[in-house]
Amino acid sequence: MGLVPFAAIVTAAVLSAGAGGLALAAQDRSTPKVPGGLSFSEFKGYEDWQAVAVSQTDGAVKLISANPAMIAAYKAGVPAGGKLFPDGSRIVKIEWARQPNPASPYAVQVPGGLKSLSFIVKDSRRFPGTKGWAYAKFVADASGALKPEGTGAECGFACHTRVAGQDYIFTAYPPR
Amino acid sequence: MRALAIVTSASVLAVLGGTALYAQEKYALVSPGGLKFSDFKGYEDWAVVSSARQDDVLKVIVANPAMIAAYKAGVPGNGKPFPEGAKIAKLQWKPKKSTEAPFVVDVPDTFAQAFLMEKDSKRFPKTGGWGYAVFNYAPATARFTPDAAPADCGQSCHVAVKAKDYIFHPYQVR
Repeated sequence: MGLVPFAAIVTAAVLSAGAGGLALAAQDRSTPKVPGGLSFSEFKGYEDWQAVAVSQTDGAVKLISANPAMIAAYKAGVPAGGKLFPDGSRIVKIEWARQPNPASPYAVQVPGGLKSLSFIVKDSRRFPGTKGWAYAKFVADASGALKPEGTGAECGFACHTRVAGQDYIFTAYPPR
Repeated sequence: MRALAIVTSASVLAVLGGTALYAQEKYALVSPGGLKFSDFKGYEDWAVVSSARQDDVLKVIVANPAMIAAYKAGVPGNGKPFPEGAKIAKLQWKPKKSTEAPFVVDVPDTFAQAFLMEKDSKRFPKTGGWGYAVFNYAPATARFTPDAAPADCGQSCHVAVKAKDYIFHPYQVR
């Protein structure tokens, strides 16, 4: 008889531990959508995309990752010589707050909380007015939940036109 | 005829120079500590663990599928060690200011080093199961060379995070 409450307690403890560990994943990430624009679910699997490069501003550490189609294009030499990324290319800029790492034997800045995810997708039929590219930005709140930032593309194509010669993509794929 | 031969040689050299990046068999290299670069073949395509920045270096930390799967299963926070065959690479670039971005941002310039770790408890029983190696990259020649130190800071540094199975970087939420 004593086993039942004990099992219940263990079950409850396991459930709450699981819930704590999954707090950041608790949001249904298929839900966020830029009003009139891209849905977060269009970028499913971005967590496992390969790194294109890393960058850093005063307040953030950023990782730029791309889907397999876009990585393959980079490796084939795009965008040099006017070559274009193929339809279906997807790239994300993951932005974290940065913080020192007290455990490290040297001074180093490492990622803190997630700040934002900025996505670009190429689909020439859907987005003919912007050379095939569409933009979306999702900002994480303190709980890690993602919300679209305004129209999701404040800077978007307007900013990226300055690298029109690189098929509108700033980040190069550096050797490694 | 001699002039033509010289021109031809120069052309051949130019072509060889252009493909130097692919000409070196970097995976034939072995570190002084005995780690083969070939143990890490394919690291260029591994998934990302995290990123970091020192004053003079931009870093991406990537890991092989076995290690990424372990991270996602909760290692090392769940008290479990990374599995045998886990491999992780810290890729380092010299930074430069982007001349294109509409804001101030540092981006990778030239590649500098690959710091490598692999877990094989039979081979590395005295260092928590981990073997360490550093391969330096010379952008001018596009060639890698093993770092002269047996394991750079290696185990002596990583013992600071022994409780995390000697790995500094967590799998960063994204």
